[in-house]
Amino acid sequence: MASGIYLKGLFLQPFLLTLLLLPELISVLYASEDSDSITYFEPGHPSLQQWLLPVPPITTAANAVEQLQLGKLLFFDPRLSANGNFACSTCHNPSLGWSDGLKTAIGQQGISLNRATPSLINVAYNKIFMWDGRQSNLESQVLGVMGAEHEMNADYEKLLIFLSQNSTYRRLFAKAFPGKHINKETLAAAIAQFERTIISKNTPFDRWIAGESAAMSADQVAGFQVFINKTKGNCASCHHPPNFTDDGFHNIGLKSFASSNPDLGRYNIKPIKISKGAFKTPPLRGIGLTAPYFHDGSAATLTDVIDHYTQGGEVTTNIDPEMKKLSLSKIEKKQLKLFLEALTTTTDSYPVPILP
Amino acid sequence: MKVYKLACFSIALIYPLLLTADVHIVDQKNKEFSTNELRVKVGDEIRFTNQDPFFHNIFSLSDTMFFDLGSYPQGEFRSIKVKQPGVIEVECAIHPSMNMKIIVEE
Repeated sequence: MASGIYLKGLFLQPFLLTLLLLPELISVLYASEDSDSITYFEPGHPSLQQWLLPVPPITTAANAVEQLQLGKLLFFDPRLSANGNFACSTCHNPSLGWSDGLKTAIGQQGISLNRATPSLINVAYNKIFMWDGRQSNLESQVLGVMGAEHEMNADYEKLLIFLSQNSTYRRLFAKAFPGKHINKETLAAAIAQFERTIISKNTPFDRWIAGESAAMSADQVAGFQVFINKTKGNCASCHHPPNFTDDGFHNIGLKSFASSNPDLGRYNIKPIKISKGAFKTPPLRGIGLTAPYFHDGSAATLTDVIDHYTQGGEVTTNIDPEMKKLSLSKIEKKQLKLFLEALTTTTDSYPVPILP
Repeated sequence: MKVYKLACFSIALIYPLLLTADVHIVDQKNKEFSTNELRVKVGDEIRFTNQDPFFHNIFSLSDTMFFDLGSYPQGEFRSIKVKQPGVIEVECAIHPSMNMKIIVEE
């Protein structure tokens, strides 16, 4: 009886079921009311601590530091690609919020790809990878993109020979992975380890949550209220704490879904009706650096994003049930935008490594 | 006669209780099913109750039983009745980390 409750009997079931479920139904209703009332919009309040990111889940492997140092070099090295001109950082540029600033990515030979480059900010906290979730861990995501014909198009056989013949890489691999060969597994592990260090958890919002009252303005706090209020922005229904994502998939009613040959997104992986046109919920820290927005890059600014949600999406075919027209005043929309801006830290220059 | 009637009435009430299938309740809360694995009998019913303040979905692509019950909000449930033995992998299409296994026995 793993489910905790089970009942027998055809005729008595409706009555008994109602009786037995009554406490649970009451608790559901109570929790619903409670979820609003327990959130106090005061800096540092315990009810807000669910938004604090935990310690980054960087592996505790004995050689984690050596691995991420090696991974950083590999991440910026274009020689990993078939033509020697395309590094991970070509699309995941630290100066552009670890994305590329483009509507959709541009691959090898200047080929325009179908989807926007996702930012790598806080990718360490992700539970599923790629816009359609086809990769279940960061290592397989790394290898998938490196091997993709129109992306890095890596020839792994040649690449592993190159890395083995480069004395610096050979030494760094030996330090990072003692007793292991230079192979696809160690290559991906090193790059993934580096990517897990791309963390944003000290935004004005984080500092306000931690108790620094001056970290967010009154308008930004009001914008946060709009963000989590189910009858206002309803944003937190999908952008869950603590990393502003539910690691889930939603069709948000983009115009591109009405095209003659729409990108079906998650449906290609899980052929279930609701997955048609659904894409992964992106986390929002660093969002001020990662325009344009959405998987098709169709929103140029945060204002465009808010306008899209306010009108309840443009195309309602198979739209996610959480999507609905929002009743937001001009001031509330402005406050929401100001709050979203509080999810980004000022960019510092990022030192690019000298390649071996 | 009264006692006899009362006995018959009682048996009529209890009889289906002994013969009919079980109903199992599986909660969906905090983006998790309340159990990872459930053992049931052919003919049993499984009800999936959404206790989260956002929509959940129920589907299975399993050979034993293929279904898509759609999406539903907090406080509602969807149910299946299992018709043959086997293993049914149940997932939520919105939240891919949610999955559980139903083992259906004869």
